[in-house]
Amino acid sequence: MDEFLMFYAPFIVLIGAIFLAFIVAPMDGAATRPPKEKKK
Amino acid sequence: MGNEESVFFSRVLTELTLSFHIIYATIGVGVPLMIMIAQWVGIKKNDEHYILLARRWARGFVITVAVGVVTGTAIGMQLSLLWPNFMELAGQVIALPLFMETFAFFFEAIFLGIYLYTWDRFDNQKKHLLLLVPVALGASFSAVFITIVNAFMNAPQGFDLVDGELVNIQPLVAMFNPAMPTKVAHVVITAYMTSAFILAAIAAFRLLKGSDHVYHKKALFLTMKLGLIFSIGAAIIGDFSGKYLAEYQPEKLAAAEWHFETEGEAPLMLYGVLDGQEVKYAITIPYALSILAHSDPTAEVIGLNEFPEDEIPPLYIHYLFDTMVTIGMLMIMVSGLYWLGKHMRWRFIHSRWYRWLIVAGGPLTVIAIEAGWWYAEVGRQPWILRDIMKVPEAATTSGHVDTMLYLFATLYLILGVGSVVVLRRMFRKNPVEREIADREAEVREGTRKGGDHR
Ligand code: HEM
Repeated sequence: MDEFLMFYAPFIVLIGAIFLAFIVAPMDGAATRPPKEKKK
Repeated sequence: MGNEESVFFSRVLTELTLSFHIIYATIGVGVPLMIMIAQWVGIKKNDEHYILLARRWARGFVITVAVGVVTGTAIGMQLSLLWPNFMELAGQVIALPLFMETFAFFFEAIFLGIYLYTWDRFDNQKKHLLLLVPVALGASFSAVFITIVNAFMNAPQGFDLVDGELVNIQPLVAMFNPAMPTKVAHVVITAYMTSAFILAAIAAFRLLKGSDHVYHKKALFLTMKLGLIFSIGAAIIGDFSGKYLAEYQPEKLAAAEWHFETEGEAPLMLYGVLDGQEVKYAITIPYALSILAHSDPTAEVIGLNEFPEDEIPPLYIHYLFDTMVTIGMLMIMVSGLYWLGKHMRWRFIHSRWYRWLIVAGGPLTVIAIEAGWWYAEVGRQPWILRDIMKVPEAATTSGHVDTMLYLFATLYLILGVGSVVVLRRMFRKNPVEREIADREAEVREGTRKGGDHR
């Protein structure tokens, strides 16, 4: 198990993170959404 | 100058060069991916703001690449001049990735030139984006190859040492040493993370300084989201690095954790002070060191008392390790809350203090990079090539290293100040608002060559 974590898993996480970045990057609906109004 | 003095000055000069270079190298590795993502989003969503983000980041990037080239060359030179015995021995085994790094850099530089000069030359922006692929690959693979050399210093293999001579040399076995995967992946992902948070800091700063432009809001949201993904990745890979250390360099992990006795159920100590072998005032997280080392809360972790005294690294690396991990965790929280807050429409993430926190995140992640490298390098002491060659054996005996140190320190000062001044001028002279207005005018008048640019 540790062998897997030390050898393959680091690259899987790295490449996975790059893919995820490309997938979520265009989801920018919230970017310009204003915050909630203050409660009166 | 005695040999001790030349070893001392060689150390200081190498530390200075690496500490300075690493800032530019990290930006150089991470920013091309950020540019690529921004341009890709711009094309996909048909949004000029993201295209402009990519354009402006690319312009700034060139300046940091230029400084990275100068300091990178200095390192190459210093490796041979300051550590000749190390290069003579290790060079026989590990020259391959050193050369490959140079090729990766050429690959990047050539395509970067073409990319920069062809912004308005393509009818189809997607083709222009393709030119960035070799730039981003070249940048990341430069880091991969040079980190492989560093990994080899920590876990040398791929040769036999017979009477001080290297025989049976296998360069590929040397490259794929056990330290390689965790080191390479941790270095590359933290470069992405740091670049994302530096760019986020700039966007947050513009918003603090009165801009309410949607361009900066999009930039901040994008970079914080990327920062979140890469910082979580960095922490996960950091955990794998802990497992690597526990197996192959246990003294480095034990020194970072002030772990003296070999025992199970080992706790993680954060900060505190050392009194003999007793740790005082530390924040203790039970079982966490056993989990970091072996993914098992009861696992035994090797302590420092198992090692001869002259092979134990300096114990101050504890604070370096803690600094790196604290900043990593802080940035996961800051970017995670920002992302969640944007979706939940929380007010506090728009407050001035939160934006200042994001601005601080830029320099803080650079500090984490420095702390990480210092930890990894000082933690390998007294070895330059673990278990084979100690640092003093590797150094030059030249009597002029101190003069070199002063000259290089002056060079780095000039480069550091110069690059900041140039970057500030570049962006001040050409503010986003004006550039957006200019581009909109261009589009309206239909003056852009070649029709539709997307
Ligand atoms: C959050 C949890 C983190 C953990 C558990 C962690 C763990 C580690 C470990 C164990 C090492 C030593 C590896 C070795 O010597 O082989 C290391 C090195 C390093 N860390 Fe971290 N790290 C974390 C976060 C970060 C962050 C946030 C940064 C920078 C933004 C960073 C940058 C570095 C660098 C540049 C090195 C030197 C290269 C290397 O040896 O891998 N780390 N880290």
